[in-house]
Amino acid sequence: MTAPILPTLAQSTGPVHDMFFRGSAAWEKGVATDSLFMWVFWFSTFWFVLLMGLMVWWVYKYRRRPGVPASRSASHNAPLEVVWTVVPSLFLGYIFFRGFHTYIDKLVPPADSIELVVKGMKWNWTATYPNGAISPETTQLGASNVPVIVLPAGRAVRFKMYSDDVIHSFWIPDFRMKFDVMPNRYTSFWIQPMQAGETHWVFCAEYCGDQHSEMAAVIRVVPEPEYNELVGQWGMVGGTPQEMGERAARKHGCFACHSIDGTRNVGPTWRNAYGNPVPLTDGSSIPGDDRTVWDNYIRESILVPGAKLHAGYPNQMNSFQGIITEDEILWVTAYIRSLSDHPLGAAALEAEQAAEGEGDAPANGEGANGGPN
Amino acid sequence: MSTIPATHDAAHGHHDEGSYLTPRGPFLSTVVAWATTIDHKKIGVMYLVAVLTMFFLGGVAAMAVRAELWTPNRYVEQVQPDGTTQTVLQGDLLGKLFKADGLGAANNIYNRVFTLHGAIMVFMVIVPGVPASLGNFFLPIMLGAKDVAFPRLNLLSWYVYVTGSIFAVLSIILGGVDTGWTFYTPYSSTHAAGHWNVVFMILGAFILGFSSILTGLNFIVTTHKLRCPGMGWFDMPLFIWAIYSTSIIAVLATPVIGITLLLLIFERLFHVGIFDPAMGGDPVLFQHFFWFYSHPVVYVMILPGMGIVSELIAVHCRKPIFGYRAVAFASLGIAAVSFIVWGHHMFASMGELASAVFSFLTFLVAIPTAVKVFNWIATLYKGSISINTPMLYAMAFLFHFSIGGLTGLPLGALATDLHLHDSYFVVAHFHYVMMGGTIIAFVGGLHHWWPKMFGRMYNEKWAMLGCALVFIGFNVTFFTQFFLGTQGMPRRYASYVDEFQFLHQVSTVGSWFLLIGFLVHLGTFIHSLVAGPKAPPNPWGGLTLEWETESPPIEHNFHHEPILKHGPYDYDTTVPPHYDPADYPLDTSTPPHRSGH
Amino acid sequence: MTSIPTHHDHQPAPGDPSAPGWKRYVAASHFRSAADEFDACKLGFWLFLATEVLLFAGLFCAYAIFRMMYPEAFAAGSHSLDVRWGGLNTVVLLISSYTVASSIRCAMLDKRFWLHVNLIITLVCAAAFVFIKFTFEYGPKWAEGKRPGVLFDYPYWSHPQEPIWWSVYYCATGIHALHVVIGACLLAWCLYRSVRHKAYGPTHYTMLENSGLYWHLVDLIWIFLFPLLYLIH
Repeated sequence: MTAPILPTLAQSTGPVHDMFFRGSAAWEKGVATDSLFMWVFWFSTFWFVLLMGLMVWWVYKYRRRPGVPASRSASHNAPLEVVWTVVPSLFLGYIFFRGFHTYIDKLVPPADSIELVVKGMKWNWTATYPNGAISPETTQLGASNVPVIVLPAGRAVRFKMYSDDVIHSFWIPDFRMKFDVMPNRYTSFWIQPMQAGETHWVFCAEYCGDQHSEMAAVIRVVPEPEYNELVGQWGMVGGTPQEMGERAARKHGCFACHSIDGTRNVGPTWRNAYGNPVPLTDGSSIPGDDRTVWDNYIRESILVPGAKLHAGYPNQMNSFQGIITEDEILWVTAYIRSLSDHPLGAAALEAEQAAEGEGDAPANGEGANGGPN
Repeated sequence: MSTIPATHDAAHGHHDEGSYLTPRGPFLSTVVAWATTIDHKKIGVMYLVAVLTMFFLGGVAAMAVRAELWTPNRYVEQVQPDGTTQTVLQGDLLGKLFKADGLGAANNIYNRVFTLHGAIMVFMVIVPGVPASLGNFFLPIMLGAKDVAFPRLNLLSWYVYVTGSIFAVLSIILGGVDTGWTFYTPYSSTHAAGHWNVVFMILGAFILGFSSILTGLNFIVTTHKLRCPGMGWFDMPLFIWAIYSTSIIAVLATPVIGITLLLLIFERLFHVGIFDPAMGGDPVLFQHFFWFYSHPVVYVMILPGMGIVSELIAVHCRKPIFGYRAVAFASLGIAAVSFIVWGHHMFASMGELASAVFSFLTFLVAIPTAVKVFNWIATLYKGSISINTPMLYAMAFLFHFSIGGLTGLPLGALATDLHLHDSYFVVAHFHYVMMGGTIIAFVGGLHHWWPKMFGRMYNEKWAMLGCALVFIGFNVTFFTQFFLGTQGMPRRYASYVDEFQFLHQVSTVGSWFLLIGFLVHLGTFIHSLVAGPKAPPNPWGGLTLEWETESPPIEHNFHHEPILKHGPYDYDTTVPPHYDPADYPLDTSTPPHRSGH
Repeated sequence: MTSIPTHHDHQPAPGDPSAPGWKRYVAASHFRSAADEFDACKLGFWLFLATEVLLFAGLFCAYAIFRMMYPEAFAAGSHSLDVRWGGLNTVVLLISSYTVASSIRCAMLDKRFWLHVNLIITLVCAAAFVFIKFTFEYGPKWAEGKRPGVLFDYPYWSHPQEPIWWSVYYCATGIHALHVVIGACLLAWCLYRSVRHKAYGPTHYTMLENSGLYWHLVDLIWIFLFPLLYLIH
């Protein structure tokens, strides 16, 4: 796709809101964010107008007249000072609480979300779909040709992000959401596009060098059947991520120490591991039910085996730093995930991929079939 | 009711001792005398000159940044003279100026210029600015001391400052750095261009840290040990409280940036791997270290400005600062809390728990800040307010600082920060605090104390015009950037999507007004030095000790050691020194009562 | 502070010009008394020591974080250090701390000879520390290839993050060794001034006392560094 995609403006939400934002946010958590922002705005406006009004009024009223002294007034007033300390504090507490509440909502994805792996590199974004596909669409934005990430309307989409070089930040202004993209671990957040046909800018918000300002992407929201068809068409040649992961695990000799049927070997088994809590040697544990935690745990265990040791398993493993590629880590993670009966495991993985038709279909386009949605 | 015994009054003789500005010999020996002086006043003036020079350099970079952003960079088809069409790059003003080849190179020039602006303004202007120039000059005088506790150390600080600045300028001459003033790893340690430029710039910041530490240490000891007889802690002017709090922060926070920058230099030179993810290091550790210093330093930047504003409002309203103790303790409270809020610069890269804790603490620091604003405004009530340049600047400070503080709220709240983080909203917010707050207070303080420092009055009308231009220019430049930020403009962008062009152009036009305003001030000051009328010892009717000596002060500050007889803001009961009681009526309608201190 | 004791160089010397330096000392004119000046210098120096502690606090913080991240690399790296040399250096510094404290006591009691003896022992200890550090620790380790970061070139490493350990080790001990050298220079300057000008006595020993404080700090930091670096299990 080469014709420039024009940004869409969501519906207006009142003149003051439109001064700050280009239309309403593109999902409900963004709308909640805007509502907090506007609350703070009116709260601030009230205090600002009050304070500046008093300032200008008093400076005018009590302007100096020759021979007229300043009249005596209290130099302090404890009750007044306590009131103007405590009352704003209560409001600040309220703002903090609302901010925290919406923040948690924005970071914790629903269990049925689709996962896209977002890779940042100087100076481009790559998004990989659950079946291993990468969108071939691009568009012109400013002076640069940028990738187009196609997302389904109405589905929760979780971004699992990492960087190939320096720190980047994945910002989708229309969703009021960003998070830094790190070179040494996964970070994640989720969004839920609502309206098919919308397009949204993505910018890099963490300074990353020469072409920082050209490091953009465009999100194009399509109806879910169309999404499934497109992503199915683009399906990766060579197999699903979990198939690639099995091959990579075989290549690197993982099965010498890790079983996939639940039996005890030198290292912990991969069967039913993903998503469940892991007791560690030092008495702490890896919490379950959190994909970012688990993805990072697997990544770290491959690169720095000694960092978090499964209780009962002395460390016998060598680091695979510099031996395994980032792509292979992602595939092996998908493979380990496919071996787990945990709700975040095989079932969720297959659900994400099934929606995209034949996930492992080569790019012939005909085999892809939109889901019933 | 003069508070100083008549024999101690400068008006009654002792004119044999000349002002500190009087040359003591031929030109060359005067220069040598200045370069080797241990007089805090001369060192203060030397700092002022150095800081203003760097402010000029940083300002040029700022104008260049705004000029570049007038148009976005675009490739366009252009018909050549020979009839063929060719794709050319347009809108890269700085790229054309420096003959950059292509979009990447043009953007790189922009990146160097904004880094130059940030690094100079933060490390060489705003952090040392007020304490090292006005603080150096007035802290000992306001305490009634002859000098700071360690005068030679004070001179050493100045030379350390100049050395650090020379390294930074050297780095610029060698081609500049494109790391941003925050030097985030791993970009700064392994990726940024110009190997030695980066090392020199970091080394410059490291050396400047020593200057901060030495100055801060000097001021703390001076405040503790050299207050004049009769001056208890709560008889100190609020400017001293502010400088004292600032110094504590500088002394406690700067060593951490020292070790951080040292490790960064090791990282850059030897690739020790501590901040390099490719070697198992942790780039976020750098951010924690960096902000552990740089957040407290935000208050190093703003507290002296707050101190100046307290003085300006009290003197020009002839009122005691409302709730003196609350304002003094708010300074200390801000200093204390400032050390535990650094994480709010990393909401977009930290875990939920840490973010929640830092967000909560961030709201805590808002409380003493708000209290101060309330107190300043309450001080205006029933005052006798003279509307002149210092007072206008105090009002401009309150205006900007309120906006800067209130726009901190959506940045401190986690949900909204995830949208606004690293956007133009942040750029506007911290310019409202640092420039609209600190620089505006600095310029206001400079006008307030100018007659005392140089013994000449300035032209009030031209100064007020300059103030108006700066105020308008500043708000046009930066208020637009709030809208840019919420609409999606990320910071540190050399180019942008078409939709943002209008607001960018408005902002750039504002920067021109800002420039003209500062040029008017420069002209006013030069005119004052050359042809300004001689200043009386106490042109504003101030009660703090600097107004008891002559303008400019004599070499040893006071003819006799002053003894404090009244509080710094007892305008209800005290006629200021050198002031005609006929021009200065006291309100006798109600019986005098002891004010809060 | 270093700048203060030299004030008397340009102050009019009261009384007999042949009297020892400490008797001729006059406080700088902006202080009300010599006692005030002494207090100010002490306060200033304690603040300076606080900044030094905070400087090292950054290093300790980095140490703690990387030890948590890579406990095995740290254990492996620590095992290749020789605890005997580290222990000997600890003893050397403890002795020097005692002698520097004694030298200040001698100044208070006006025992110039013992003041000098104690300072000389301290300086010898400082030299011994640096000598041991470079000859028996840095030298062999560097030659084996146990170097920081990308310079790391030890073929038998047991953990991929060992270079990080060596980076932390060299940064921490290197910056500490620099402080040992600076402290020794301060004490050598004190010794010179005491021998040449009889500068320190019962009523004036500011510079000596502050240099001694600095030396104690250098010692204290080593007391923390030694177990953290040498005694990891």
